[in-house]
Amino acid sequence: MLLKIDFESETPIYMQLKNQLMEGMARKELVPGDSLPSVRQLAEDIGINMHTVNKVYSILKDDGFIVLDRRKGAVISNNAGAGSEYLSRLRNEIIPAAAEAYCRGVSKDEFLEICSSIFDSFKRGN
Amino acid sequence: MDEKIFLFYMAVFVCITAFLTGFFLQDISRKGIFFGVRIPDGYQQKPEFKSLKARYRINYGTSFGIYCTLYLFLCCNNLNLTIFIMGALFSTVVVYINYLYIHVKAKNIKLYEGSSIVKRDIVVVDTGFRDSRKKRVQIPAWWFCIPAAAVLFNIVVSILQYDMLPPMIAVHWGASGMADAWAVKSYTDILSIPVILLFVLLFVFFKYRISGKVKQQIDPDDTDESTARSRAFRYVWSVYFLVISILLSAIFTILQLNKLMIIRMGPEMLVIIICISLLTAIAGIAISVLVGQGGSRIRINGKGRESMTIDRNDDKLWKLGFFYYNPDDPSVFIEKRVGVGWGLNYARPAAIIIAVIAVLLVIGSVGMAVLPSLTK
Repeated sequence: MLLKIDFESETPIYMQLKNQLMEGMARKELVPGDSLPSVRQLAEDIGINMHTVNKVYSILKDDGFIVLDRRKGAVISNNAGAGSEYLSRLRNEIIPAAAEAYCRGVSKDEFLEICSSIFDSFKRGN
Repeated sequence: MDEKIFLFYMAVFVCITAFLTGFFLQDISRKGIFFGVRIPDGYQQKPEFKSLKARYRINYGTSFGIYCTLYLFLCCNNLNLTIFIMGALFSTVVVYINYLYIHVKAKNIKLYEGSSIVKRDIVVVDTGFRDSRKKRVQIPAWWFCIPAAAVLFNIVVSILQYDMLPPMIAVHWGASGMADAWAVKSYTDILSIPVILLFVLLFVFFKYRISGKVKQQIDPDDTDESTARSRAFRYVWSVYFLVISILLSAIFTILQLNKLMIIRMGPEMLVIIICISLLTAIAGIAISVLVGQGGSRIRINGKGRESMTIDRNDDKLWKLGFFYYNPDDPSVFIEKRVGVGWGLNYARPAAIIIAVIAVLLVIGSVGMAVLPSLTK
């Protein structure tokens, strides 16, 4: 998959990487068994510090999305579950977006419709 | 052939190739880079930049013409190896000064254009770029078993042949292919040629590896085309490295077998060696010119749309447009921005060490070639 790192964005680079890899897995551009470049190789390709890439890979590994193989580097595994801890984190991540939508007068149905279509696009493999 | 006449022809060859590569410096360089300054593809056709390129050619043509005349004049009258080598090395200074002059002017024009020229500062990376299940980036590494086998062959044959050699063996040959110096035989001396071959092959294999690992540099506006270019560039050069590995193995094996008196070569040995060496040099230049840096000169059936903005604001990472200095980048090796080939990230200590070693090696080998004639 193509990763696009924006050096001028307010979003930190590690966040951009994590979000894009996450979305790539959701859209099946990355499927279990696919390998990601090694920490060094990805850091060199982008031109950023290895610590940044390492941070992302660590997070993804701890959550169960990738396994770090000595030979193949990082491999997508998707053994992540949605425990109560994750669900409360998810809720906290949605609150800012929902709050702004609410304040702007977006209806609950509209908001849910947007979420729904996003999920559908993942399911379609689009 | 007389040594002086031979050196003169070599000097002419150097002049021609150096002139051509300098004259077409911008044409063979990376796409989107103008004399070390990143500008939009569409800007290359603008009158300011076209006239700058013309000015470079005039400046370069004149200064190199003068330099060449001086060089060849000296070679005619006072020919020795020192002048030949130093003259060839310093021709790069002529290129560099002319390049720098135009680089500064190009930078100023870009500044004058304002900040609207830089649309964004992004990097696009394909996680599957080096995935061998997709299109190959390089010829597979196992091909290098062929030159490796040659080294092994040389070593084994040398050890087996050792006892059959006379107590004194030839250690130096003149231009006619006749031996002119002998020494007491020893394993160290017998194995010297295969060992040197081994180091040379390791160096070439290292370049092969590096050329595959350097950063992708995909154009966000044209990901498919720039990926294809990058892949083709790396693939062609990987084949080149394999071929010269095999050719070098052949040369060294011939030399070794001759030394072991398994074959007997005469003056044709020198001719073969020179021909193969010239071939590798010409092939390298030909690939550089035909393929361009990063595949810039490869014809791809693309959209042909020329962007008027740039997506990467990395001029600040390239000092004088030539020296890459990026402390945040863990890479030691990168593709050059100007000209064809690979360079160093001078922010990495390993790169400084490599650069120092390289300079010492050049000084050392030039010194070794030149010292005998100086101490005569």
